[in-house]
Amino acid sequence: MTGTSGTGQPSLPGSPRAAVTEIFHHHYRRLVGLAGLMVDDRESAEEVVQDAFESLYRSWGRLRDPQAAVAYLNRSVVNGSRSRLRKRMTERAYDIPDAGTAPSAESLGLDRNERDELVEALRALPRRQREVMVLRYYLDLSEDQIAEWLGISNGSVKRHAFRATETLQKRMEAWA
Amino acid sequence: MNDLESRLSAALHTEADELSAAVDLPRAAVELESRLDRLERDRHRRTWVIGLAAVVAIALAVLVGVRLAAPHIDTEPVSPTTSYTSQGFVVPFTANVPDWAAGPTPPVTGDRRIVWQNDQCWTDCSPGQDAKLIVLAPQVAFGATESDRLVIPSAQGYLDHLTALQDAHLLTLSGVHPATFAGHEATVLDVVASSAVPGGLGCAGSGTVDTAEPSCWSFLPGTRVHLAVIRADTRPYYELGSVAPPLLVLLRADKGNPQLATYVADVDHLLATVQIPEPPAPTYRSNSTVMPFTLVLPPWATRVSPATAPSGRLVTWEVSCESAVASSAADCAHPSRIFGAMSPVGSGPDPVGSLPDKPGVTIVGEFSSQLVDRRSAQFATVVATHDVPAALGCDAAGSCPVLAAGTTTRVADIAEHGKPPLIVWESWTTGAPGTDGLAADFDAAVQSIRFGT
Repeated sequence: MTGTSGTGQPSLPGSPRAAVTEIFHHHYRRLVGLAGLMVDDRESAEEVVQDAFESLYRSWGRLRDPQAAVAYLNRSVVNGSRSRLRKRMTERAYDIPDAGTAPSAESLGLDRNERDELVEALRALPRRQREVMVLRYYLDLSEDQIAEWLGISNGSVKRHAFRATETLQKRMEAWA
Repeated sequence: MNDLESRLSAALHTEADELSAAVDLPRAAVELESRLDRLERDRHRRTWVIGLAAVVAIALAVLVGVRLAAPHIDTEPVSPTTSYTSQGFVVPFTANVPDWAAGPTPPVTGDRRIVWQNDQCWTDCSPGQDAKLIVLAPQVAFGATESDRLVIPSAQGYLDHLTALQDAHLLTLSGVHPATFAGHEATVLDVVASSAVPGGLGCAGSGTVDTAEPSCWSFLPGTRVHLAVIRADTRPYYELGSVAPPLLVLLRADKGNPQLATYVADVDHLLATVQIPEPPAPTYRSNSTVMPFTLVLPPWATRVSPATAPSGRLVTWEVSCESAVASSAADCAHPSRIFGAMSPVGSGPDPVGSLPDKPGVTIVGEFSSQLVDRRSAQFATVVATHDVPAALGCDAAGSCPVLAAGTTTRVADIAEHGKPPLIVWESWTTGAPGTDGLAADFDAAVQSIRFGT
């Protein structure tokens, strides 16, 4: 059960295990949503988030407060998703598309609303562009924060965001 | 936020909400519990192992302490010494030379050999009195016959040469042990010869065997050689584009010399005092007006001549088996290596940013760094499992470096607004021995880049 410390910040149960479990119940779903935007399926997203909680438990002694734990989890999920996606992109290089079972353009166009189209367009972006867009428009991070999280320069963040926006714009115009 | 951005933000939140809603939270909680249980079990096991290791370590320390505390007796006294600084020798060094060798007659010196000996032996050496102290950077050594000429590629190559002479029953090696002198790896050993091996110790020149010392030095029956084979380069041979002969520090004395044990101890003392200063870092200056810059090269590249493309936009340093001096087919096992810098044509393919999307490429590390001149560099380490043509862009003449299958590449994209980028990269065989420090050397080279003429 969460209480409140003298500073007004929510406090956590005493043992690391109880504290991690508490945070888990508050943030697990949201973090799966975040991971799901970066990797392509919910199963992988859940694994990434479970890994993040495991890592949080291992690092508990180095964290100062609950806010730090949540920030740690956000970042851990982003990093885990990136690793997962990176690995998958390598595996995909060897995939041979099965023309017989691939859906036709017509079938893809059926019942698709604008949101689906946008999300699909986002998933089709190059990995780095997609990461920048998710961090910018889902986590509302600033360019400086994105640069720090991804370990790239501000200029690179701008460049990736610009190219991604351009691609999404074109795709949405074509769809319309 | 414009219209597209607002729609995108809303779409992402809705998509994430849908993903979240599909989560089976109780099942996920059970999985987390199971993971945390496993972590706690591992932690308990580790605590046990660490405790046990600590007990063993303490017991060992006590044993070693007892041994170190025992009185250490030098079997032979060390002679008085004089500090010596080489002049014009190919590997500059300083060392304390025993006085019986150091004066008053000065040593015979050259760019690849320095020879001291008993003062009386410069004029008339009595039988059994000969003792020479030699520092030699040999270029070649001879085997059992004069036609058996070896261009010494490395310290290991030289040791292999001695082993081959022992296998041919010409030498007996003993007391072989590793050592470190002035931070350089070395092997110390004693050699006695059953037959003369002219030029077997090594020659300062690179021509045919010259039995007239001090150009070539021989193993002679009736003498003992106490020898240190020092790797003068701190890096292994396969990182170099040309031969890297070892530095030999040796005593060759008559086996019957009554001072032999003292002389051997004196050589060991000399070795303990050797200092070899680091050579100054060579700077490369591009002679192109397209991309004027200077940089301090990675150590291995300093021994290779750069190849500049006619466009002036591409310069590379490359080591391959063909360009290295290989004394045998086995030496061809060393990895090829390339370091390059290129100013690609056009707006640029955003090489680092687009690498993750290329088939056959895995990014194993990325970071950005601020360089001097306020430029930023985007670094990536890339493992290629397939050939990736034009992965880094092309110069004006259509030369496009390829990331070869089976290689690891460290690449830096140095950008400044309004100016063409400079792509710097280094590739080596993935997992090849001796490649661990290459990324750090590469980063240092990139950090050393200065732009402008």
